[in-house]
Amino acid sequence: MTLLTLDTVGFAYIRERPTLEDVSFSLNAGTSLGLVGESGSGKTTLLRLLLGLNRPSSGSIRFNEEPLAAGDGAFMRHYRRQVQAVFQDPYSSLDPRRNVQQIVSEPLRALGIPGERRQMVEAALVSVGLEPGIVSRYPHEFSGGQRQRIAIARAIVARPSLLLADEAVSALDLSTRIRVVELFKRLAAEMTLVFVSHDLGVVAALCDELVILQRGRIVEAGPTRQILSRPQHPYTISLLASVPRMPAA
Amino acid sequence: MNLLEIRNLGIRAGDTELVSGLSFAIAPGQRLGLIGESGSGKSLTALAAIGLLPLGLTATGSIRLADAEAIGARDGALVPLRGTVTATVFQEPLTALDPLMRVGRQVAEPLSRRARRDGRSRDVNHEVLALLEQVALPEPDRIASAYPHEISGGQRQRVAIAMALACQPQLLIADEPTTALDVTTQAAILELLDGLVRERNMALLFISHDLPVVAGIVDDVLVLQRGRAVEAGPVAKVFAAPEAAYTRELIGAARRFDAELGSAA
Repeated sequence: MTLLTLDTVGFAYIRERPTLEDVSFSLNAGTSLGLVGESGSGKTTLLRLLLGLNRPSSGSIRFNEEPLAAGDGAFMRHYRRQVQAVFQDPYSSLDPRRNVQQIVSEPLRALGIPGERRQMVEAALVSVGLEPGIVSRYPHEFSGGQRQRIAIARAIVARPSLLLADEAVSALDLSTRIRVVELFKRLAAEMTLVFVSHDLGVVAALCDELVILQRGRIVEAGPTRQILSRPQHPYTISLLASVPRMPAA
Repeated sequence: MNLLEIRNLGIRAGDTELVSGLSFAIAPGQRLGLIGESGSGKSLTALAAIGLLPLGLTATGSIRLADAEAIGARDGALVPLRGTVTATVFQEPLTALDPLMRVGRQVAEPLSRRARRDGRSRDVNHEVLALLEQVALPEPDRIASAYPHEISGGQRQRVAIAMALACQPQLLIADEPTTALDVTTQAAILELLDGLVRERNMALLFISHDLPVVAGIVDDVLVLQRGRAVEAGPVAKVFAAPEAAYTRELIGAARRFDAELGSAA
């Protein structure tokens, strides 16, 4: 079933130069998609459109075959429950003055989701590999990797069907990164994931499909294995050739 | 004689030990990589080596830069060594350059200081353009008259490298020089650094958390964990048969991501 469809989406912050042009792809429920591009390629802008924070200047986005209408309050409330995000920097994405219970339960409160909040928060913490007993602690008491797990718990507590991650492991150290990628992999089995990253190794480890963006346009899209083994577009080829590789063991 | 010789280096902030018992040396022409995750003390070690530790941090032990002791030395005593014995390229080229000064003037600064010291003419204009050309910047004239915000991140890092090369250092310290750059830009900057270090027969201290990047540019590595050296040796040996548990974990993680890319590229 198609969860998300982008049809010739374009976006411009200023009139002269479009940030995104003619972006079309669709995503089936349960698939994990990697959006890959370098700085200025438009990947964060695309994510903002998917979050409903900006509206496309042209084209349309459909979620479960319904058009994403930023002005339609009822639809957006429903949409926000279905779509949650994890951002790059776990130091700025968690409010330092609120404890873990308050942080993780925020979507439940904002979306007016009924139920026993403490239990839902504890279940979310457990599913990201944290102790349920940390609810009364504050962000500064945790390492970068633990903070990112808290941010992920917040994103999944309302059981969204689509999880958007913007460079969600880029700020983490290598040994932490591999564990958080494992966590995303586990979550991707239960929900649809759009993972924005400049890191091809991470995306390759995590995503079934890839969309390669260059200067606001899709230059190549398809199954990850196929793109990695037989890249077609010159930009994809140079991107792959630029990734530093480990020396042979 | 070693260009840089660090013996039993300790760096403290109050009662907290940030680096302890660290020893290594770099001989002329040698390329050493310092590998470690955030908080491992790799950047502090580099700052201590050039006598630029932030206020409030104290260093103990011994750091000899071209046979001059850096720990406890007056700042004035280190000035003649900076630029000629060692020069540094930092991670973020946007903050390393003065946003209010045209690129050409920034590159001219170390050049004219050296010219003054050598008692030569201070007209260094052609030297600036020659340096910009050596770091493979297109249209050196245009770049020289541009402000840092008018050029790309990769070009800014090339300018920072040009400034570091201005006084022909024997040892180039590069602290995460490509971390802030896109992967295609990173590849170009690494190639540039590799070529410059070889042509000028410089020694290189390359600091990074990125294992494949380090492996591609240095001969020897030193792995730091929480301010202590856990392993050191030739790249080929350490990467093929890491001994310390921490090194094994790092290399294992890097290999996993690497394997995901398959035989591509």
